[in-house]
Amino acid sequence: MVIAAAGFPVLLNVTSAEDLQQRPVFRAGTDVIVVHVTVLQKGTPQPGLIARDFELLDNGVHQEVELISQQRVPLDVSLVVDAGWRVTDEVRGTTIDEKRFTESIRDVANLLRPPDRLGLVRFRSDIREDLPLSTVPVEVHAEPIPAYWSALDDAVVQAMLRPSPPGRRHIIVVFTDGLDVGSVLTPLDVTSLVARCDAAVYVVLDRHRGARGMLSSSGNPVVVQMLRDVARETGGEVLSESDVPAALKKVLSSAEHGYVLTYVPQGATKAGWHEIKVTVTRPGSFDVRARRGYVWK
Amino acid sequence: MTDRHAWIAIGLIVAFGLQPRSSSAIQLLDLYDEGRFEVAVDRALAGGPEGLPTLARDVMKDGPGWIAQGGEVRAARRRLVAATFTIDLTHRAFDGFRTASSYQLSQAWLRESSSLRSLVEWACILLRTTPTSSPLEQKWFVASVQLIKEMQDEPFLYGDDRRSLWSPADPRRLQQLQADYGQALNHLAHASSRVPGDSRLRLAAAERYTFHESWVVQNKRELTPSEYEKLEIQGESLRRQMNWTGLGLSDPFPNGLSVQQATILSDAEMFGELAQARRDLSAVAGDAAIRARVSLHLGCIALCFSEHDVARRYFQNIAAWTSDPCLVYLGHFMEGRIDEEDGQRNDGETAYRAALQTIPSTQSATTALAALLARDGRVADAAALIDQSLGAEHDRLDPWIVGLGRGGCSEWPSLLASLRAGLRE
Repeated sequence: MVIAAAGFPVLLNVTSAEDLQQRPVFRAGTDVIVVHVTVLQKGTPQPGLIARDFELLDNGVHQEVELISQQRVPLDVSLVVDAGWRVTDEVRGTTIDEKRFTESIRDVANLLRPPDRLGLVRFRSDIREDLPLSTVPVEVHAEPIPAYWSALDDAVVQAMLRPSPPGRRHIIVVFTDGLDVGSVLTPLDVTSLVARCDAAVYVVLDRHRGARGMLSSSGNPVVVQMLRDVARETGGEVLSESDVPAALKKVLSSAEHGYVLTYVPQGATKAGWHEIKVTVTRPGSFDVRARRGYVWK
Repeated sequence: MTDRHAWIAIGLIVAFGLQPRSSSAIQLLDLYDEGRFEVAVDRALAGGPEGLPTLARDVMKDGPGWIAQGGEVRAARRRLVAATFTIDLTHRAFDGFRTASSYQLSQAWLRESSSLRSLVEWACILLRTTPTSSPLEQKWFVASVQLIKEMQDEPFLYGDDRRSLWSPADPRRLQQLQADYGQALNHLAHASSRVPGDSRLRLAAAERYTFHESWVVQNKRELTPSEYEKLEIQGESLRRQMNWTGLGLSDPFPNGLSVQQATILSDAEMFGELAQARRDLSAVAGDAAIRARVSLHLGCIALCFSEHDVARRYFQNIAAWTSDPCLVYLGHFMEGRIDEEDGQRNDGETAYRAALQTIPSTQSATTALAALLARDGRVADAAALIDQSLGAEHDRLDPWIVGLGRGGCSEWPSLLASLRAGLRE
């Protein structure tokens, strides 16, 4: 059985009874596209929508969608945390703040429930995986990372290019002050790779500690714009919460009340980039968040 | 041991063991003289960055007496012991800046390690007082230059900052530097006078205007020859119009200078320096001892000026000229980057894989290769590479991080090891 999770044709390997219980039932087929959608009205997630409340255009062509789940889809939450000095105490992860940092991660893990998974990557010039995606509850021990350069672009791309298995919703939450010094990749490289990412990228932008010296307190404008673009294109959001668990609560609230739409592309050329546009047809003003497209290979 | 003794022992450990101890300068020099190098430096730094100025003062005050203690026969060796201790200590203090886990601590190490330049200069003067220079002393001068390169202290190394390219005879600036640095100005000239013709010192002199090389390469801010020509003309015109004597990174914009004009001046200065660096480095490119390093610089500078074929040739030569994995890695990595920019993805992949063969699982080549593969739709291959890199133990800093900054692919560890070995003999 092959399923394409937003453009990534992958083998759906159902291996156990537990798997069957945990995963929503996906339609079998070779060309199925899965789109995770969050619908907000005045900032509040909107439950209770049905398939015909959605209109989905794939490269401008109307598609028949199936609403396969209104239930909570298992989450893979990848935290990507700038471990440098400019990020708030809660996410700093230094020796001094190790206790608070560990507590914050525990608080985050408490917001999840099995079979959700939590992963933690921290970066300065080094990108380190403190916790590979693991089913909650989890224990985190974070060693200090030298406060050298900040490879934000590289860390974001590394997270974006590690897809989750089908049947799970992948959320990347990036904690940063919006500064990058020393990445191999440029902001332009990052945005060019968004099409290859199956996750919704949320960005918690720390503006309180601000950069010192020549750069403004709100980060490098080019980098910040890149983060906004990545969040928008993947169906995520840029938040300005300084408190880690509070930010995560907000992110998870959106994700938990999301919808999973599937469709087999009809009437559109398969090869290349597909732009997706999802709207809600019910009366009213809705903020619909979903990835903006996928690459068919 | 009775309970009572145990408690006394614990008390002593708490009282003396866990508190930063301020060893006297003489004790530290004795330890270093005995070959207990790490112990001496560890103890010297135990008081944290704040203890360094006092320590430096004590070494300069007590050092001459300690050197004289052994009589004339042992004085030459003791001078070298003291001198090596000073640069070993300063490098470790500067490492504190690079590796501290908090901003405040990092800045404290930076501030105080800079204050150690008077100590290094004291050692320099100490060695220069003798009429001839021994091979070990020559190593000391080369190592001290490497140290200052890594600290990126331009007046200390060159006697002036990079603004001298634009304003070579500004007496106010020179007076200020004299006041700030005293005798610790132009250490490279002191070293060159003791080790004339040394390849690494020639390289250090030629690297003077390479400061912006890494920034331009990292940010892919390349200029085509016609863009550079236009920038040169605009920059020169603005310099004359504004009576400009060099922008400098920390200068406030004067009244009337628009952001656009400031950008032109800044870019003109940046690329002007790179052009000067290319001339200086080309002059030493024939020196076999340093040609791999020179090639890396010249390749990067050629890339800054969008001369991809020229840059590629420089990078391709590196592996033939050196076995230093850091330099070889960067040669392959940069070649991959050019190939990728030129749309030659297969060649780019080969070059990135060659870099990863040189130093496996390294973050920079992993990320670049993963991005390249993902663009080709090979996301699973990209993810596997990233997983492998994140799961690997890295026993050295990524050459991309250290290699493109000043003092990149540092020879410091081998220079220090050689000095220490010489002192042990």
